[in-house]
Order: sequence, then C-alpha cells, then structure tokens
Amino acid sequence: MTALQDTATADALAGVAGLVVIPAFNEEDSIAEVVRSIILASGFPVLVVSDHSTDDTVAQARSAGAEVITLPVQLGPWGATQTGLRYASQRGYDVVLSMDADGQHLASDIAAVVRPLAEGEADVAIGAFTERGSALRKFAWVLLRWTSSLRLDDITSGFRAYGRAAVECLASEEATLLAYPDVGVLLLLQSRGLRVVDVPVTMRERHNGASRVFSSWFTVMLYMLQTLLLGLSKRPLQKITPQDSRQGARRKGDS
Amino acid sequence: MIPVITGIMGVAISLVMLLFLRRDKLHAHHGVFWFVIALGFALLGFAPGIVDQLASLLGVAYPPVLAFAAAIGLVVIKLLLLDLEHSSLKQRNERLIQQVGILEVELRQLREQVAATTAATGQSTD
Repeated sequence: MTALQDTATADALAGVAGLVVIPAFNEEDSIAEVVRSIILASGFPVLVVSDHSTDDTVAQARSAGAEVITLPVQLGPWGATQTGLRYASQRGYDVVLSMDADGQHLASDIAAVVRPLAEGEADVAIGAFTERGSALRKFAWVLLRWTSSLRLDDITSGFRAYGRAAVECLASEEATLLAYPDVGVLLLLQSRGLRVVDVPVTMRERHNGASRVFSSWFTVMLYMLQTLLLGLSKRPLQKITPQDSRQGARRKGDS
Repeated sequence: MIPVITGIMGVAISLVMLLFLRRDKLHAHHGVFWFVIALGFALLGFAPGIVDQLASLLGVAYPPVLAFAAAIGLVVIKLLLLDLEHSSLKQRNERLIQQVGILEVELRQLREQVAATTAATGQSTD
C-alpha cells in the first residue's frame, strides 16, 4: 500500500485536521500494524489510549508512530475513548476518528467515513457494517433501536468520525458516566441536534477472536439490560425529525 | 421491651456518629442524616405511644407496620442517595484519571522538546 492511494482519498482528507483515537487494552499483537496502516492510509496522527494494558501494547504503539496515553487505572472502552476525545478537544482537532485496536476496521475506509463531515453533511459519521453478526445480534439491534428511537443501522460500531461539535459534546462531564460507546453516546449526540449518518464499510475478522464487551452470556445480558434501560430513559420525549436536527446543528455552527 | 431497645439504639447511634465525626471519619453532611435517624429511634424508644397515635390518625390498623414501612422507606431513600453519590464520585474520579493521562502525554512532549532544543543550542554554541 502507498500513502494516499487515490485522488478521491486525498481530496476527502485534504485540509482536514484529523486525529485517530484507538482505545486499546492488551492488543500487542495487532496494535502496531493497525497504527501503521492508519498513518499510511490517512496521514492522520494516531493517539492510542492504553486502558491500563499489562502487555507490550504501549511500546508497540509508540514504535509504530502513535502518541500514547497510558491510563493509570482501567476505565473501560468508553472511558479510554473519551480520554482521546478530551485530548483532541484541548488540541482543537476538526475531526476525531475512533477505531478499534484489533484490526477489524480498515484504514482504507477512513476517507469514506470522514467525507460526510468534510463536506458539511453531518456532524458524526458511523462506519456501519450491518452484515456481521448472528440473528440474535440483529434482534438486539432492533430492540435497542426500538427502545431508544435511534434510527441508525449499526448502533454498536466503534468506527466513527466525530466533528468539532460532537467532540465538544462527548468530551463533557455529562458523557463521562456512560459505560459503553454506543446507545448512550448516540442519544446524547441526537439530543444536542447533531446530525448522525451511517456510512457502509467492510469489516475484517478480529485478529484475536472475541469481542471484549461480549465475553460471556452474563456480560451480554448485563450489557443488554443496561443499554435497554439507558435507551428507554433517554428516549427523546418529542420526535426529533431530521429537519429539526439539521436546523439545530446549523444554528449551533453559526454561533 | 421494644421501646427500650429502640431507645438504646437511638442513643448508641448518636454516640457512635459523634465519635466518627470527632475523629474526622464521617462528613458532617452525612452526620446530619444519621443524627436525625438517631433522634427518631430515641423518640420511638422514649415515647412509644407516638406510633400508635400516628397510626390511628392515618387509619393504619396495625401500628408496627407503619413504623416498619417508614423505616424501610428511609433505608431505600438513603441507599438511592448513596448510589447517586457513588455515581458522582465515579464520574469525578474518571475525569481525573483521564486528565492525568493527558497531562502525562503533554509532559513527555514538553520534555522531548526541551531535550531537543538544549541539544540544538548545545551544538551551536560548541
């Protein structure tokens, strides 16, 4: 692979001050390759937030050219991601991408995910891969969508691009108590009138097997209950139409 | 017998609470709650007729139920307040941890910059 493979990629990413945030917990096998492929494909600086890793993740990430934040206490995937968002907010990046450390998100899709933001069409873009997962997983999505009234294809995808307004919103204290980076985060963005869009992407098999969030039946249950309750409690009381949210976002941008 | 026990409990709770306050183990903010609880126990102990009067006033046929219901209600409220406070502490703690991580990176970057500039100026003056 060469840097900035085609002109479309170059156009989408040109002039965008972007940062790629990768929350990582013990990902020494994959992290270096993931960091290198991102830098090569996008030219964006990469920030790895090591969630109190106990293996060689930090050194691997640094040697691959990433800046690394080492959390002194484990905060979980969202706590680590938010650390990166707060860093980006303090440094004033235009666009912050979040990607997984296990290599399931492809660096070649970065341009596609950033494009809606670069062209001013959205405040948040989600790299959605709806073909993955079992029937049960799809049923869970339907349930989560229905309770929270979110209208997005892939609620749980960790491959996202956040614009400046979204970064400020998610760096706030209000977003700190969230446990997972999905429904709660999306509802918060929606409630602020930010425009969230899906961008279809392809996803690779995980380098080293299973998801961290879904490691056992019990954690899946706990996750579902917690997320359903959160979605239900934060469900907007009035219907937010895309028209309203677009205006809301524009007003915000003007001020 | 029950009035004596609750009366003793009330006095004991207030004494223990004062001891913790005195030794800086308990925030005065929580002290107020426990002081009120202790007062309640003492009141029940030394004037047990209050529950009966209150029960007949509210139309509760069996007065002890009123006392138990009130006690359980208070415990539930206190537990909820505890969880609220725990959530708030967790939030503050997480923000601090995140900030420590960010500051550490900034410190390292500054150190590298300083090292680079001293190396550069050192070379130029030599």
